[in-house]
Amino acid sequence: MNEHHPSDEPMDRLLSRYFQNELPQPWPDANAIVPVMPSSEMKSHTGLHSRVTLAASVLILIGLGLLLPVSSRNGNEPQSVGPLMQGATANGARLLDKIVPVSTQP
Amino acid sequence: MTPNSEIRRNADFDELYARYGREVWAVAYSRRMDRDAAMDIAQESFLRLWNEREKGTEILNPRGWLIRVARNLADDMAKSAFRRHGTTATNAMDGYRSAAKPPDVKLLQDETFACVRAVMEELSVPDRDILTLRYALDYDSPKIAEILEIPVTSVHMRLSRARKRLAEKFSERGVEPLS
Repeated sequence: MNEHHPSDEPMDRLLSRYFQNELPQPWPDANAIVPVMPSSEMKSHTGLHSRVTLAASVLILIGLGLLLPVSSRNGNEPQSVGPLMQGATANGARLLDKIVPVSTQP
Repeated sequence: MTPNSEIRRNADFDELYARYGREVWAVAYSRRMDRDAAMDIAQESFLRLWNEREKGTEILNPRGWLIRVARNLADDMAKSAFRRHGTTATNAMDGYRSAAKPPDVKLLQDETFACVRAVMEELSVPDRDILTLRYALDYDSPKIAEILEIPVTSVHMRLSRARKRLAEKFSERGVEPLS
């Protein structure tokens, strides 16, 4: 069967130009897909390295968790309140007694 | 594994990529009609091939395997919610690709190519497969037949039919293929 007719030529040219424009130029090389590294090295590197990183992260988190309560016990407690709130209870029963009236005189 | 076998293996992978990379791209392109998405699919297909080989899987027909994976990935991408409901058109950045041409020439080319793309999208995937392999990779009918696993006569027939449909659709849109 004849694959080409003379009348197909403009169409062929248009399609060729269209597809050549679409085809990535330059074609990326294989290194864009997988890193340049021997496979065994890549395996051991990614496996060991990620495990060490994960273990270090867990240790840091545990260490911080242990340190935080200790630091709060050693001096990071709230400072004692001044005389204004002394004797006040959590239910606010005697709170009104502690309010100092504002002086209206100049 | 010895270093020599690793080097051979990498060289083998590079050779497969050099030999079949464009074909895999073409198969993805005919489904997505988006050169960048097709490139992503082609690279993902080869990455999967690499991973399979790393696992020790023996792939007897890498070309067929790659094309099947690319087809599946392209179909999956078409089904994904992101593609269906994405906020940006796939050709939104087309205007930024080639700054070398004068704006009027580029505008004319962009309009013509947008028309070709629109008409291509109306064709069936098998027709687009053949047109992409024929015009993007300049493959002849026997090679296209080999890749698509169809008879050469079918390639001739589909190619002729696809050209005819394209001509009709261009005519409907009042577009003359540029000489």
